[in-house]
Amino acid sequence: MGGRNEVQAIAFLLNNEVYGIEVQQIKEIIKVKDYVTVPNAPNYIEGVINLRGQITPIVSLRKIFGMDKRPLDENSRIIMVELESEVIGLIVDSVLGVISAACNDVVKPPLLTSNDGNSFLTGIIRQGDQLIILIDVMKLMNDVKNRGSQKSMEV
Amino acid sequence: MLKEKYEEVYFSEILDHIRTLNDILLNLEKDPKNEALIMEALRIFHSIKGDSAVIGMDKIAEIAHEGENLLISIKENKSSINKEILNKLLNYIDEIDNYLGLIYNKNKNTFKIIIYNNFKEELKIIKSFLIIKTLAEIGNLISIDPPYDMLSSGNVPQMITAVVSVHDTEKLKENLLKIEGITSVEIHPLEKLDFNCNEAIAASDRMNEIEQLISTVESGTKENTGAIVDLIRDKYRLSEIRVNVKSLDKLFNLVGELVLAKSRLNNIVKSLDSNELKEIQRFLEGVVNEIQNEIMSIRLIPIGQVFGVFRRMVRDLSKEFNKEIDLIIQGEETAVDRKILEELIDPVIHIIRNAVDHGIESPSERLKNGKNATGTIKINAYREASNFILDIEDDGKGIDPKVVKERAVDMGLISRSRAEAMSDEEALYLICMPGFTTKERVSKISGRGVGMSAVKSKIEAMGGSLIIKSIVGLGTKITIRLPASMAMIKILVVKVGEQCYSIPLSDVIEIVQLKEVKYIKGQPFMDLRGKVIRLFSLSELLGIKENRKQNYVVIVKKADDKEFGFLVSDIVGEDEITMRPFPQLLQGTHGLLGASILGDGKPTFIIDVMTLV
Repeated sequence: MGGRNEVQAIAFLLNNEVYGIEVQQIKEIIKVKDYVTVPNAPNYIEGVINLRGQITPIVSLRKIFGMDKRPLDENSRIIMVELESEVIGLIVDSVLGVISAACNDVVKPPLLTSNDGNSFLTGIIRQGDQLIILIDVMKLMNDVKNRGSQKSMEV
Repeated sequence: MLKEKYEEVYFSEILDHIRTLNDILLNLEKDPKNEALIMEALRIFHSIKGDSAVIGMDKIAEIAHEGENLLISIKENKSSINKEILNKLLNYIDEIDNYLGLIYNKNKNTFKIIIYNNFKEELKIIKSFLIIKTLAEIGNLISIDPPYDMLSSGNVPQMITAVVSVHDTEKLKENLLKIEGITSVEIHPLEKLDFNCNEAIAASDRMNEIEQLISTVESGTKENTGAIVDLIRDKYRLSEIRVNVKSLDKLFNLVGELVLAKSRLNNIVKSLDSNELKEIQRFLEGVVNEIQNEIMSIRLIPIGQVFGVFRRMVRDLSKEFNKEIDLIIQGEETAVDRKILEELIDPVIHIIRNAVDHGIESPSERLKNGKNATGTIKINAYREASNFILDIEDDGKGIDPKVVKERAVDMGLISRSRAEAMSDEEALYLICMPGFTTKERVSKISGRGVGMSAVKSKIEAMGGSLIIKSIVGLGTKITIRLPASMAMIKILVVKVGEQCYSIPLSDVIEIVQLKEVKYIKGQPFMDLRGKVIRLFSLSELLGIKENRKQNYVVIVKKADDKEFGFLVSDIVGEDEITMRPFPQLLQGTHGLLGASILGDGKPTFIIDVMTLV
């Protein structure tokens, strides 16, 4: 986490687990609107939306993580993140808000790093009883593309 | 056809002049003693007169002449432009504008003249100049074939054809025959205008220069003729040419097809494992991209060329509404695709009208609120990365979110609870809802309630977005963000399942509606005028669930001339769309060529029907 001594992240819910993405990677958060499905696309691609004139792909984190399908509801949100060259959206169950934690409170996920497929899990923030799993979206999407579409990831 | 083409060029020239004149006069209103501006206005009136006279638009030439005279007298008396004179000049412009619209009576004085000669080799150049001179002196030379640069390089054939507007054809014939070496002259009334319009405009532009050069040639000795001819050649070595917009558009569309073919090729190359092919494909990709960029850049036009008209519009509108308004345009040199600019005009007019009508307050109200009596509308155009941004800002009374919410609830557009939950920023966008209007009465220019919703959907259809910001009491700023250039392709929009998909129109041969689909060994087929055509269900190929109630068949032809039909549930229509950058994440998806956004703002995929079967 470089010279910074604080981590700020957007916390969100997926299957009743709390995850976080650092705010630097996030462009905006929008409510889920109508999207167009993509024929013949890998299953984690939920569809595309027209984000101010840009065709923007929407990815289902639930599908990537091999979680059960859940219908979209009032709380569902799309977190728009910027990858190297384009913006993609991640569908999450709900957004909890911004959390900040001192770098000291971020621990490396000891059990998971041994598994080389999970390098996108960059840390765990403890806040009281709550554990928040930090995801590096860039690494996650690279992993997803490398692994191919079918295999879902174990978290 | 050609005649229309020619008139088109003349019209666009004059419209150009009118536009510039409007700008200059409005500047003169602020700075009535500015001699440079007066001179410039004078020059343009003169050009209009000249251009119009050349092609026989006498009435316009007459009006322009009056404008010219009025300005000359001002210049000579060193007086300044007062309101009365300004209005007179503006009226001249309007009159010219009107006449342009009226003129469809063809010019009866234009003739095609065929000149036969047996000029001696060494005299050819000079003799051809004598022909030009005679034609130009007695009549108005519109065009000559072969063109000047050919003639001046000694390429003088035995038959020269010219189009001339002339009253005294006999005198012309007589004088031409005086030139030694001319054997006969034929004069034909012009039924079809078979001359090159570009040449014609170039002719009127250069007539003076040419005449000067001719006299030099005539007085020159034989030895230095060569040098003078070089001089002439230099003068007419063109670094710019006028291109008909239609052929540019055609080129542009062809490039669209080329880009499409390229992405199709990419898909195929990806599936084959050939490094040689990949290399060629990469090379092709580079060239096609470069062609595309080049064509795109040709189509870029500085917005000032079009937005100048808004000055006049704001001036007239503010009079109508008894308001005082300054329009400031910044970034006039910002270039944007011609098509985008064209499409932008209506939305911008609407936004400006709204600003004049609803935004800027009356002078007394402004003074009461401690503002300057004169309101300001500011247009600022600039580029940001590959986007073109247009801010339209007024310092009027702003949009009150409470009023807008109230109004939207009253009109039944949204529920009260929805309105209450809405943030102030969100509420501003209510003005873009279909049917929304703030006015009790419907005024002549705005408040018909189709306005902002039409503006928004138009901008979005172009792949852009609209941002509204407003502070009550201080003003409103509307930002339009658009791609700076775009590649257009023609598509057929079809419905498969619940979604609309696009098929490149260039792939489609015809569309047939079937009462029922026939099956042979479980495969759908149809009989097309005796031909058996194999059908494919597009929903099956794309893996989409579909409950087809109607059977429409889109017939396409593959490269090997085999025809196929694709079953779809409905035909939505034809459209011209811009290819959008295809998300990297989706690249290589089987059967998809690219993506775009339809008129309703929904994304659509362009189907590669060729690789699907």
